Amino acid sequence: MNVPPSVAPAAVKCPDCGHEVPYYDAVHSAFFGCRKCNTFFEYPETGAPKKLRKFKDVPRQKPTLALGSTGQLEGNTYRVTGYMWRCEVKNASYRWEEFQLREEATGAYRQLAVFQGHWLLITPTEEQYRVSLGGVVEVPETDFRLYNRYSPHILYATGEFDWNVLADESLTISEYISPPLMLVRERQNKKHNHWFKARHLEAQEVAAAFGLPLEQLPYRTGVGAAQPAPGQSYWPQLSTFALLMALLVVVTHLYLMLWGNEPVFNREFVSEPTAVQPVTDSLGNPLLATPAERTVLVSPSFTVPGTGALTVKLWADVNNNWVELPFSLVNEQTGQQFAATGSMEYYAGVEQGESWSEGTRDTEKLLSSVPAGQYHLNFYPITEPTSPAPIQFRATVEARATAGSNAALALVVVLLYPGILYARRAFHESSRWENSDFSPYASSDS
Amino acid sequence: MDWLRSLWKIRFYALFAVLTYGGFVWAGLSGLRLLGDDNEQEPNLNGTGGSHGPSGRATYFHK
Repeated sequence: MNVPPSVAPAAVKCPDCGHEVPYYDAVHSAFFGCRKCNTFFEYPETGAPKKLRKFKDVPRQKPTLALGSTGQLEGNTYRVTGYMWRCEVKNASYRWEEFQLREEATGAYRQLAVFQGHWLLITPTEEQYRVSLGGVVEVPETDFRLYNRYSPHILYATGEFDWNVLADESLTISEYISPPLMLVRERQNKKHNHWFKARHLEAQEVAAAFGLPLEQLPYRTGVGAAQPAPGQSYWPQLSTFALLMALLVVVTHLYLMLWGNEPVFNREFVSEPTAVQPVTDSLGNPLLATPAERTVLVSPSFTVPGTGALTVKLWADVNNNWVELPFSLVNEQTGQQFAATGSMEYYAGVEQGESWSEGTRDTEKLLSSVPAGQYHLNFYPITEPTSPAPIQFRATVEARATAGSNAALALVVVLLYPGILYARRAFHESSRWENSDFSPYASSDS
Repeated sequence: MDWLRSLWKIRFYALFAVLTYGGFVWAGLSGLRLLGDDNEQEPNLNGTGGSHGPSGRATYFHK
């Protein structure tokens, strides 16, 4: 709602410049900031007004929310009655703004604070909280972790206040977060604690509440102290559901492995060498021998009981040798063929007193969607043409084979979005704590 | 029950995940390898294998 500042019902005269400072709360307001001469003064019920401070730092830009303007937050109408510009005593570069909001219906006060474009709606509470030694406030719903501790310095104040805002400089303020919520403790001495509850507000909420264009609000940088991480509202459900689905994929894969992988063929073959014909060029010079094919070996028939994937496992007795085993799987009823090539090589030796080996004697090939039926295998072995020794190899066929890559693909697809969100949340959390002296991410030696 | 109701927040992801799981089960039961196939046989117009003999065999050059 875009409500222009209305005329205040009353005004007090600034004791320094005589400018009239309007105010809305005649009962409680006793401290005022003059926007003309930047003087902060007390106007007691009786007696003369007292100048308390003349501010030297004045904000270059007008406050985002005009004094006297109204807005709707959480269903209640609030009027902006005061504005403060504060910083930390120890680190003056940490500066934020606070707007004093007065609820029109009840006269209750709240604060709206903005730091680096991150908004917090702060409400005083009568509740007292116990802080554990680890800096954690435990409440039934959640735990609040200590995020920041500082003493404020008032750089500037204008409008009306029901307390001496300058007295806040003697406070030690501790902020405990459980995004999007925050608990704020103001401590004057160890026995006197005031607690506030704060809630993160999106800039859009503030803009809509006070009828302002979003561009008029401070530009947001970094991560706010109580800014919820991406997917905050549904992350518990998403992560649990994704893990359950991933578990279901793994269990299903294990079940398919137990149910399938049924051996339907297992046999050893021996490939005998064939005579190598020397090859010469036109001048009669010997040429480099090419890999020689050996005799085609045909397996006995075997039955594939159901349509599914087939695993053909090959093992060859190679030693400092290699063999390439192209094979075709032939359906004896339909003539349909499947083909693949298994390559095996194994080399071993001793070099400078150390034994070494490389390569492998076995391999396996997976053929997709092989229909049920009667099949046989044709092998076309190739090996070193100069190798005179027979090569022994074994072929094992398993029906209803399971493809581990299917399970891996399903896991990747199911976990991709939760994984990206997890990474974004982790980055968000680590960015949030960069502004804190109590970061759980800080290394012990830093 | 409340937890199941809270899944409404992630209904699109839940639907996507269930469909993915369904695809995985279907592929597993029908013996379909989703990521490639070791079969080197190129199907002909009849959908069956070609002539006899190995096809797509790699020439093996060795050291």
